Amino acid sequence: MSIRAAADRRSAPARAEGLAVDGLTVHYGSTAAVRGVSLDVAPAETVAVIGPSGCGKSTTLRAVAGLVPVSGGAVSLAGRDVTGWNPSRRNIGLVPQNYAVFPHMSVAANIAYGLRARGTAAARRRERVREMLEVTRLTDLAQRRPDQLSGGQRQRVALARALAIRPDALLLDEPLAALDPQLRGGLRRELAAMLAETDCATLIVTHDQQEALSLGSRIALLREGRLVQFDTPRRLWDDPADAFVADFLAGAVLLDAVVDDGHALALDGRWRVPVRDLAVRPTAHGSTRLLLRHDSLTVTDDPARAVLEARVTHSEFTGDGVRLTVRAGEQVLGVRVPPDARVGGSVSLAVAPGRAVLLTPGA
Amino acid sequence: MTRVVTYLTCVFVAVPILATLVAATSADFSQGPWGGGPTLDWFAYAWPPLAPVIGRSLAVAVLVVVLNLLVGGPLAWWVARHPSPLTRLTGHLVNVPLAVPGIALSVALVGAYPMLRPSGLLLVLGHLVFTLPFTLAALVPALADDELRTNESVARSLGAGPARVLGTLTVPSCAVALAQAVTMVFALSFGEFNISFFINPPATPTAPFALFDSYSTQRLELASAQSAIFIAFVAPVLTAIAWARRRAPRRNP
Repeated sequence: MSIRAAADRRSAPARAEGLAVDGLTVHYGSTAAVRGVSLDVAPAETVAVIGPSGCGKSTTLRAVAGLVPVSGGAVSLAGRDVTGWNPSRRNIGLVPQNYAVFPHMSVAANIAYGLRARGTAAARRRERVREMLEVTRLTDLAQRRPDQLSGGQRQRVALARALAIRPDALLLDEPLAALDPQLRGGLRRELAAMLAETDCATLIVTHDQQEALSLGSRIALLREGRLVQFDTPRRLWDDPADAFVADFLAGAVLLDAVVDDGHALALDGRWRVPVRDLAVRPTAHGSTRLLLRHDSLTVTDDPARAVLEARVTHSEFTGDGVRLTVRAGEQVLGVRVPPDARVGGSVSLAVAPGRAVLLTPGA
Repeated sequence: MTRVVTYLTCVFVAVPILATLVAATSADFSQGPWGGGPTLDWFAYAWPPLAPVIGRSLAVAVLVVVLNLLVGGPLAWWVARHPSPLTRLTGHLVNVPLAVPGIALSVALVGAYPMLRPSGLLLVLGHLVFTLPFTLAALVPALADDELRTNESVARSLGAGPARVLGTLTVPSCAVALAQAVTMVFALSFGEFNISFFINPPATPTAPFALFDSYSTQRLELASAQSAIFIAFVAPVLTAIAWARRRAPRRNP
């Protein structure tokens, strides 16, 4: 039985509008932790909220859950304005970072907790717990205590408990952060498969770019409490709103550029790159910019190519190559070279044809 | 080395208790241990006058425990869940009675609330003031625990009201701390002497005062038998304290 099949049998219009956050502002004392954040999550959609530590992503999630008071804006769930509502009335499934599996209850009792709290009849409750145990493959562990479970199993218990109440929105706070790195890949795919079968709006908070890119159908990127960009993973990757987005999401560099006589001029005109060597794409974010990833540049000794002199400040062996951090004037760039490349203290950089992107408005 | 120190400490504590038992079971302890032969007669003499006193002390201790839970529980909650200069100050103020000599505390209480003395209410309140720091010391860290607070948040999001969260999560999670607080408060109140001596009317003594009176005015064997009876009442509570402390490190199951 799939989660979707086991899930909501309520009428579609009641849940039609998913989750909407409009101008959300949260203060801790005099400090604004979240400033005017707006985003929406459609039913059956997964949105990842990502950003560095202290950017307000967890506060956003707690505000949606009703666990912190908001000082401005609104939260709507399934068409209802729930901004001032008590958490117990919102119909939200919350899975915190440590999963918060209640330690003194069995797996089955954990899953049944929300149903008991809502006064679900015993027979219906048992049936729903059985369904959730089945879809999360926990049937054999129903009577186990949380301290007898692995991290992945506890995550499934927390997920089953949250979904058992048929929430309008599912909130996951750093769902994989508590797991061993070796396990994350497999469990991320497992989690993605389970989320794909739910029909509630899912909001995932993470600091892990890989997690956001693979789990979110859209990504909201926050910095210092503000929403920087909210778009699909592909558009964030291909057309970052600013240098912070490019750096945080892909470790890429975004340089202001102008196009002149078939060349892109960057770094105050010190670097001229033939446009024919660049992939040219339109941007929705204003000015012309040059997007450089680690594979966009090569180290060259060919004086005929448009080179940029740079000083190597750091090198890092990555197994399949060496990642160099170089400085050209005040600009820090990343370059990947083969593992056996001989590199001195300074290098001449050239664009790998077609690997650097020129973002131009209206292109 | 640690084990040797532990054994020596146990011996140091056990010897006076064993000596009391030997005196209580000696027909005439002035002739040495079990002088005149062993006997249980002193227990028979000791129990009738001690029974109402033990009963009174038990009643006071139970009342003090209940008041500690009623007053200390919400106070610990407030201190743990609303950190502010005011709650920190409250935490410090609650500890003040620990640093004040019992006689000073008693005189202050008797001077301020003389009307509460005859009913015994002042004795109970005096014990409450004296034991409240121990309740807070046990409950505040348990209630401030981040894991518990996260669990409570999840329970609320699942639809649980405050009473259900308290009953199904907070109290079970704080069970060990509660057991520590209850047993400690009970033992402290049951064995408290200083405040009881000064506040309580002499006609209605508590157990420690009665023991003091017996040692002052009765035969050593009789007083020792009363002490042994007193120990028999408090031993289960002390065992519970040890159990609760052993369970205390259990976290993150």
